[in-house]
Amino acid sequence: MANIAVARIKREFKEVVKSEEVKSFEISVELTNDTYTELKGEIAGPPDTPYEGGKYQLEIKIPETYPFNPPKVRFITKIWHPNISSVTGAICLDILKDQWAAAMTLRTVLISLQALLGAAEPDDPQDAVVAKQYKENRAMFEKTARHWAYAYAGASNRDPDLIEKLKQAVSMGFEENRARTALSTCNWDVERAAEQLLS
Amino acid sequence: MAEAASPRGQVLCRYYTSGVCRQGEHCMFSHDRDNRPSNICRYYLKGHCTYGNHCRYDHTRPKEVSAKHIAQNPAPKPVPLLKADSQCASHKMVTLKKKTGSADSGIETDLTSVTLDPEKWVKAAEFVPGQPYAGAAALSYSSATRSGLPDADMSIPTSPLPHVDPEVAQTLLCPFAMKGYCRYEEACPYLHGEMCDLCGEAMIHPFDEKMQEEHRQQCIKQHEEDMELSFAVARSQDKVCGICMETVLEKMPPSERRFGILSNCIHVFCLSCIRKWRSAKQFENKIIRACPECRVKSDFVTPSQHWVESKEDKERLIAGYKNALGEKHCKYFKRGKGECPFNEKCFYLHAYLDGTIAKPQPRQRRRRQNADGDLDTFQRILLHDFFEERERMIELELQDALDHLLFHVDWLSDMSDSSEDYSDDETLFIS
Repeated sequence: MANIAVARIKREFKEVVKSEEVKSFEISVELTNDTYTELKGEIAGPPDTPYEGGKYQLEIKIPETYPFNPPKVRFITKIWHPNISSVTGAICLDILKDQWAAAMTLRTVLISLQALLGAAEPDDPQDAVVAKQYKENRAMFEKTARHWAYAYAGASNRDPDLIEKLKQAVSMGFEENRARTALSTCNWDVERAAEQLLS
Repeated sequence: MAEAASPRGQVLCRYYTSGVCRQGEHCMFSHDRDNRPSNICRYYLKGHCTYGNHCRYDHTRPKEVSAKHIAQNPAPKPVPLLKADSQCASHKMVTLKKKTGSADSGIETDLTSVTLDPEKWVKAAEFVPGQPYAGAAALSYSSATRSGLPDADMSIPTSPLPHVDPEVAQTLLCPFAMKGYCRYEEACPYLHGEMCDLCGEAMIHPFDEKMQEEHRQQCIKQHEEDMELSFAVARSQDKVCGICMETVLEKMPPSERRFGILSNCIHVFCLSCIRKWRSAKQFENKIIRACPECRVKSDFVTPSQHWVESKEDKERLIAGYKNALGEKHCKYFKRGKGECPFNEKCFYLHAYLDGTIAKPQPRQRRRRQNADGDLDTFQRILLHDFFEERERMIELELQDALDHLLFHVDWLSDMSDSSEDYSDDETLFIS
């Protein structure tokens, strides 16, 4: 990897570790290999959002041309959000694409992602199903997102109603994660979800 | 004079001294080692030669030179001058006069007479400018080079000259005293200035008030410049590039330690980083022309050794940069042979071969009527862009042709399946 990329990541790594956000447990970064090409980030779900209390893990890949090109970031933790794919974790965020600037850092990227969790852009969606739900049935979206945060990100807000519905689906013989996705896309209508799972 | 006319010059051949002169007998320079005191190391004579035993000049004091002469002329002096002391003195007089007076004309006449006679090339002005070419004194390298200096006056005070014109001497400050020590002290015919408390050199003229004032002004100006420079360095010291995140003045190699100043914002970048960012191809123009920190657009980057932040300093820097570029010929304009896409906005010089500055050309629009009867505007296309475009087109065409071919083959194979009378030749032809 180009020299400048490694040198910069090393510096940034130190910067993130020392930053205020790390001290308040909002973000963190750790190395996954010795060459500084892959890192693992973590952001806390921002307060007053359905993601509150959750911890979201991110996969960060540093391209050779960094910082002249943005890092490739993806959610490892599953999340229900209009701008993040509920299947792959791919993120739709302008600064990770054409609006990147060379002065941005790992820290600013992670903070931006945290801000994205608090301010979704349903008109520029990554996951069309989630975006549709967000626009048409906001209450249902928030319930679903909260449940996903509970199920995957370790948030403590459990919704007994949704858990009950999930149990129903699982008792019908479906795998839990698949059942959850199906229920979420069908606005937690158990029959429709079952139909979708069988089709 | 008789010696001067001999084909071998008076200057000792330096190849001969090293034992490698290929000219042998025909060499224009002297191969007479014994007779040439220029062979004596002048640094040795002064007391210290860094080469020590390895010096290729002799480390002996010239025996034939009288003790009195050494005292008078401590610098190595050519030997033949001994035979005519008076002549030597008059020769010096001539030299001095030439330097103060009509030096140019003297050299010119020398030149013409020398060039006429190839025998005397060795005494050409290149070797002994300002000297009488056929002077009685043999010349050492040092004296030849010394008198070749544009301000040869510097060399004169090394040996106090009995015939120095006192009027001339009284107007000049002794350069040795300026730098701290003149070995002739009180006896020096030149003026020893008073100590300047700003520059710490004895540069203040003892009585000429105009020169005193002049020097003081110079010193103050110099001092201000130094101060400004040290402020600039202090300002730049811990500036960190926003792209590579390194302290710009600590980057390696040192040639990288330059700032790229953006005209419309105050964010710090090193020159190479910001230039690389601005030449990125993967983003829109709007993104890369903007500052990577604040996204304020700047039209150009100005290189600078120091960090410049205040508006006035920046304006001065940019003006200086534009001036410097304005003296260089534009590589697109090519002195009239090419065309510059930036036209009148180009920072570089648009001048023709004869030096006349080109007038800004109005942008020409060429139009034509296309097949539908509409007006088309021709864009100016750089050859490079054209090639790139054409290459892409060729690739596309190839792809098309391939698709076509595959389609034909499919079609043909269908046909050949249905009717067996197609010969193999046809299939071969298609493929």
